[in-house]
Amino acid sequence: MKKIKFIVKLIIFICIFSVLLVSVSYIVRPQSDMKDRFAGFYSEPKDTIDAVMIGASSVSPLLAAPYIWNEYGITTYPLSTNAQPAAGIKYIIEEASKSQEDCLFMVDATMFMVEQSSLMTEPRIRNVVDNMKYSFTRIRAINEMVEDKGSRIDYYFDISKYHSAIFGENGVKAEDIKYFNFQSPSEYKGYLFVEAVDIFEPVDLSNITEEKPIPEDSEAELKALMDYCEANEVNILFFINPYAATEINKQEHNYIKSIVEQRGFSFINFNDFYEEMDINFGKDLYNVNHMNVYGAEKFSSFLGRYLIENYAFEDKRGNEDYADWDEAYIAWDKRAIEAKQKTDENLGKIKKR
Amino acid sequence: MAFTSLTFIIFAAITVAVYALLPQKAKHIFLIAASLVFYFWWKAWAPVFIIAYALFNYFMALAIAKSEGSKKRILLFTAIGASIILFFIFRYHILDGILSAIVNPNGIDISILFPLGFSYYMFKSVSYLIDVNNKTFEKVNKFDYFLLYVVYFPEVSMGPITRAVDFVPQISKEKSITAQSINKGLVLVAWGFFKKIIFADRLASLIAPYYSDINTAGNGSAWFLIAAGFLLQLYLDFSAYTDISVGVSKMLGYEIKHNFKAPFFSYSIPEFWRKWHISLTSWLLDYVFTPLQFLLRSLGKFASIIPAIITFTLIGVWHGGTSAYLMFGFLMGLLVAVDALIAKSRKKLKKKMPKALFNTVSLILLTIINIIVFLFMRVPDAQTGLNIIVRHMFDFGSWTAASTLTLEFYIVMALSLIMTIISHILELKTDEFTERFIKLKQPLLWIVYLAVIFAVILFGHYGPGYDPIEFIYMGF
Repeated sequence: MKKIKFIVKLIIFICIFSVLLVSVSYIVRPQSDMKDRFAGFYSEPKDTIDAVMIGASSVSPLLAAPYIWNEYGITTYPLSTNAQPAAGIKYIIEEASKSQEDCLFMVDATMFMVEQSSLMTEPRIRNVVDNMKYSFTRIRAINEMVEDKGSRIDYYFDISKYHSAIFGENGVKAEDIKYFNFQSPSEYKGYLFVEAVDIFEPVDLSNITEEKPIPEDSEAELKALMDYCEANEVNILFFINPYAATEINKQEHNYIKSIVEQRGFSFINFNDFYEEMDINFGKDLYNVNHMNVYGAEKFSSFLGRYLIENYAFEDKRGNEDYADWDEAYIAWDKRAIEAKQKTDENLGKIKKR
Repeated sequence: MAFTSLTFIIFAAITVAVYALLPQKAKHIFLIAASLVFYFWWKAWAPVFIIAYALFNYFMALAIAKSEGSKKRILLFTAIGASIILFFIFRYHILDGILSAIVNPNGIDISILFPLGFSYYMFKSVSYLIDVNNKTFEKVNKFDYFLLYVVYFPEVSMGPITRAVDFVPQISKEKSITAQSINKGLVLVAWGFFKKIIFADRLASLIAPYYSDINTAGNGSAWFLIAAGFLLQLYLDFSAYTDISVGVSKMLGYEIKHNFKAPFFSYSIPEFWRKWHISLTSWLLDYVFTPLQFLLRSLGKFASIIPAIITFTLIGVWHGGTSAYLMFGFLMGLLVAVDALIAKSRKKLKKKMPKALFNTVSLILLTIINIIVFLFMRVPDAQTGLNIIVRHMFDFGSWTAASTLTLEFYIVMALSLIMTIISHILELKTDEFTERFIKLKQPLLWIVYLAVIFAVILFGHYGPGYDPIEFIYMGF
């Protein structure tokens, strides 16, 4: 009897310890826009997101989810990590599907234009797995992406990496306690404001029909992702985000399009619609691959219309359950005005040079 | 399998859990198996070596017990001699050159690896042989009992050097593993982790760069602090190991003696050594110093001085095969000898001075001596140690020059000093402390455990990017 009592107590202690360890680990994870974005996604109520956009750093300053909400009443969310390895996509889909079961996944296919071996570095892998909640999905993501078995333990228990940086300017702050369950609403629904700007010339690539193969390991990852989506009946849309692309880029876009469409998946190259979007290459981008708030507004408006026309999403504006989206738009709009002013100032400085 | 690794935590937890569920008769067999697994983890061939070594000493002890007169002495010297020869072969790589020439004449040099913990279980075996010879301890008839004594995993890698008389009788005793006994051990284990991972390892990483390039400290006073840092690191590291070793033993129902009893709260070098690495110094006192003193009893004052220098030089040699260890042992021996020579004058002085003042001065002097002499335990050779002392520490003109010590260094040093003082206070009342601890109410007990565990997780020196720092005494 005593032994049983002891074992029961031990199990309770282990459970308390595990819960605390998980919470402390979430709090200790370093603050970043990615942490904010993922914790924001986890805080969204079950089955309330219509479409999730997955990709690399170009996605978070591109998808102005509150803006789309305000214009079309559909809910979108960017789940992106900087320089994301393509191997992480299916795990992000799996993770997101746990709370947003039948949503549309929009995958930024420009990720497949980069050699995957160059993306499989610790910081980039950690951007994916260390912004996920602890789960078997996360363990499998680590097992696939981290080749060295010996170092996987430091990924499983990411606190072993981050505990050494809890002090200092970028260390843990009192307000980080909100991450105890890795759920904390994102003020702008994952959108990342960038006030920088750069000037580019538009290039008409509509006549380019040739195809250029993408790196072999990326093609393999793309095919593996399509296998996964097929097997799990994932509603997916591959897209190319609008950016200052080159002719070679366009050839790679065409190659991806062929592979994807051959397998029966949807594909859209938003670069082909920059005129319809009214993208101003002299003002709407802050570098070759990334939009600023001006570009984001135009792209989001176009995307919202595209989604309404091609998918059966309901307009949920006025629904009390989505009141936080109205608040998000008000906050986003206020911040966007500031961001536009700053962007204009920065553009003025560039032009003076 | 380092004691502070996750692997060891899992290994120890499984071992204790299975051990607790087994019937008494099977307990020690299981413990032998677990200990061999622990030793196997270091090197696959290691269990074969330790079993062979235990077998040799077991049968030699049986033969010694049966023999009388000169035959008995020959057997004893043969057995001890074999251990000493093995020790020198391993420690000083005596056969490496010959083996390389024979086995691999044109290839890479062969180096015989020092078996993990050999210097510790060698002392355990030798003391057993001497005790059997002197009839102060009855020979162990069961080989499994003797093998457990030698291979017992909480002690095998770094001691303490428990005597057979203290350990073997415990094997057959009924052991009931209760929540209380688990808690008594667990608190010591947690305390050991706390000292090692938060303080000792952090200190180690902070002082290591200065020892890599001895000209980087900036001034003499900085070197004094760095050397003091190593002394604190050494204490926190080794006492942490002993805490874990004693703690795991308590969980298994074995009582082993602690290696430290507040050594820095001493007023003379002999007193310090009675409280520092107790199992080693008491071993050497019983089996080297006292017999030597008896042999040289006709030499008057020198009957204590010569054995002291020999004993401490042996301590140096035992630690390793470098000139620095030799210098460490020799200097300590010399200081103990000087202490014996001035003992009477010191007593007179003590009577004349206020007690508090005398004790304070003694304590400060002893600390300074320890800081300087223990420096030889950290440097690669005696010359480097002498350079640090003569060119840096004793260059008093440089003491006011700017040092390169960081704020982090000062903070960690201050916290480590506080931790050392707390640890000393607890060492004086370990049993009282553990008794009080286990009587805490369940929620409070758990809060303390969780606080210690999370302190280690959050403030410990570990994780990717860090080289796991082995316990210092594992290398001896």
